Amino acid sequence: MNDSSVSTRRRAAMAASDPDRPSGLQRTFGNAMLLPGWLVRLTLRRLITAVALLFVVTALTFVLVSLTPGDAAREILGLNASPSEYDRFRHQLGLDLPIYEQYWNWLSRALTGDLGKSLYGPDVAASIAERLPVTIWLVFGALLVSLILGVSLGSLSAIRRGILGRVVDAFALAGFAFPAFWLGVLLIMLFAVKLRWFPATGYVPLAQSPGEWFLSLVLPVAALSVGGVAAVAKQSREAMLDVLDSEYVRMARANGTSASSVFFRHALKSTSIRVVTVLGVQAIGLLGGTVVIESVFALPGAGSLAVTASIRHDLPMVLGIVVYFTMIVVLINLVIDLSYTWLNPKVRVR
Amino acid sequence: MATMSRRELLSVVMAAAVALPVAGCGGGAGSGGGGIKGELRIGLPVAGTTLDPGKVQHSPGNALRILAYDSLVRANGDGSFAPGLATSWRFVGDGNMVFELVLRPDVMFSDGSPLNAQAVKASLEYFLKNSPLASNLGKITYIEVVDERTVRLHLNQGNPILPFLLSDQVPAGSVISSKALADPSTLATMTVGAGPYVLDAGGTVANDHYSLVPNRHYYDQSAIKYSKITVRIIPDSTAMLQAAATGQLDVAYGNVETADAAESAGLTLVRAPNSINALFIEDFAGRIAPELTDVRVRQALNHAIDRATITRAIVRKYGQPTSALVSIGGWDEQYREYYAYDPEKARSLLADAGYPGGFTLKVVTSAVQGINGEQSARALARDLEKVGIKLDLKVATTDSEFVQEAFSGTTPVLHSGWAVALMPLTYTTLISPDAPMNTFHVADSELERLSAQASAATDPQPYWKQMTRRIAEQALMVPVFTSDGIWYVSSRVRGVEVSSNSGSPNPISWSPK
Repeated sequence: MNDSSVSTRRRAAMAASDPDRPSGLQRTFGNAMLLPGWLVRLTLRRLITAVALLFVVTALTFVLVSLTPGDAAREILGLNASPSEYDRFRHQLGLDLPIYEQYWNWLSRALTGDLGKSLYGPDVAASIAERLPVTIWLVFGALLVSLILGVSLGSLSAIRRGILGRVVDAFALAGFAFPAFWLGVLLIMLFAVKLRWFPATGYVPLAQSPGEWFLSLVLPVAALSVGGVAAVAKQSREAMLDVLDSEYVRMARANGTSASSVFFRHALKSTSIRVVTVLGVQAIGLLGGTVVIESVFALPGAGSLAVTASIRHDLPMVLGIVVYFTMIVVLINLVIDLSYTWLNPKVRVR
Repeated sequence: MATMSRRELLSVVMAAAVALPVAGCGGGAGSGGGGIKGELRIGLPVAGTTLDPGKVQHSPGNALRILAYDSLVRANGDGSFAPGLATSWRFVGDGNMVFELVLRPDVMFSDGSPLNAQAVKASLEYFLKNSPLASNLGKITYIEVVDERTVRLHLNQGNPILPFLLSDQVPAGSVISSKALADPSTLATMTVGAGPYVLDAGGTVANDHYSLVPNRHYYDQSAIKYSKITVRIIPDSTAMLQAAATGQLDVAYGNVETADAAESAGLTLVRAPNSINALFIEDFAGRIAPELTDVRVRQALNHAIDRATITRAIVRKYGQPTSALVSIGGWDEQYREYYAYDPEKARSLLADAGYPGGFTLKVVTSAVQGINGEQSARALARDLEKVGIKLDLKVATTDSEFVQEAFSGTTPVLHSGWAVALMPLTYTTLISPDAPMNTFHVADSELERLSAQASAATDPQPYWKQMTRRIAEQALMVPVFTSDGIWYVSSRVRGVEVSSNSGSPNPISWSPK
């Protein structure tokens, strides 16, 4: 497809370095008038892609989980059940049907919006809805920290250069190298066990206590965001260096434009598309990262639900989570594409 | 290049960091602070697959069941029993064939309905029909309601361990409200028992945390020591340790891997032997592994294992080596070292049996059983290889894969942990010809005879001990070590006790210090 998000982003990245693009409020509000048609076309295309993607991903998940040795019937019955009891229970759960028939049964219900019940009883959609906010907060928090710290570090490094640049490079390398779960354990040891600043495990809902909610998220978000901070810092530093060394910036400076104006009006805006691209990729990666972090911090998120469901061979629950996660990924891509338009109207998704 | 002033630089950073939520970084103790008086916080690694006592498996998650469903009988740590929902019980006549329970008067379930003989009968029938553990209860032919408070269980085979099977240690004794049994699907996610607490669905996220509040219908309100109990499910043992060490939990399920660190953190370790690690020889009739029919080969397997070294390396002070099956009521200390570590003797026995060059043996173990899985299986494989027996080790990645492999008919030997349980439970689950885990359904007539005698005996223990000796002498399994079930207890709680007789500690007896 010539309108894929990848090519869109390439065009966006190319356009981002164009000094002739319109700027400021005029650009934003001027193009806002054109957005509705744009938005409809783009959203429709993404929806069509999402349906196809959901079909492929769920079918693949179904096959992979079905091929995994063991099943929910054995998990529920345990060691004590005789082979005949086991066969009877498998039949009761419908696990003795051919894979394609099982998938069709699930799909026909899912198409009506019914994700069914877990093989262990609870309603799939309700279980996911109960746990999704934790995962969303983790991802959102990690993205926010990545954006703020990453851009700050990258900008500082590009402006100061020299040793600070090398420090940012080293930090980026370390950020990529250290696994989040390892960092999580270290953070717990230092800030929860030694200093007792934050809880070692668990989650407090925002509605229950905003203060405790915040504290319960600090360490997991910190562990989860280190990789993102590193990636954003590196990308924003490089993008900013390109801009600061460009001819139009030199001209601006020669014309007496202040350093802060150069930074805010030219450099920061020019780096934004690259940063958004990195954040988009990070957001999708973070969804996977929450699986481990939720385990380390014993958080009741969708990631830990996915792990439990997989271990228990709870196919309806696994598929439900896959549907939700796939939709979130599609949504993230849509938001990124829209943000390109907002950041640079020369970018058009056809 | 023009450079910025420090102030401009600072403004850049501040602009980018405008939304950084720094508040709270110097904050207080968060939820890691001390426990609230009146709340008990328990950490368990699993919640079980359901809350329904009629369908639940044995697991550490049983603590949840015990809190909400008081049991007919309570198991004491010393192996004796105390009244629960039943005030007395006895076998009527000879042969342990009729078991009578007299129920406590004026007991109500949490839904307000009365607990009487009819309710006990309905609950037990539900259990017998649905539970994967129903076979443990023996062959109950019918349940008789004698009067409002008396119920009798009629069996077609003696079962001297019924007081245990109806105790808090086994879900059968957890009586469910008859009203709730009208729609049993609700029991998976809510509790309707006659226990001191009842599940608060609003404060519960399944498989993460369960909130329990006092049951206003409980017959002994003075036994309710907490205004709230929170049971958190923390599968990761390191996270469990950290939650306990930082005061987020009052009582936590521990394990051998984190026990030393827990002790260093000032937690009290309460422990008792609760599992036995062994190679279970399924095919001693030699259907697919003909070598195993020869008792000398099975004895060679036992002599080849350096139990002391393996135990020291894997379970340290939290276990003991043993070459005999460890069970409750059947244990014979004289058989602990029945098979000394003697590789020479093992080689000699193999040569006598016609296998001087050894042979290859397929064994399935599990990657998820920790010390009772792959870790110790690799150590066993090394020892056995020294005498010429090569293990073809298949490592299952989930429990259900392990069981599937065990039932595949292609695995003559299983490596696993098994609960230190009453001998009849071990026998009927692992050894008797129709035991589910006797995957080749091989019979040993001597064991069958002893088991039958024990079933009808007033004192079955002498028969159970003879069974232990028979299993050891015939080398029907290769026991390696027992390991402890470990609980981490904070200084805020008293009364936490475990023993081999009561592997699931009863939280009803816990109280704040």
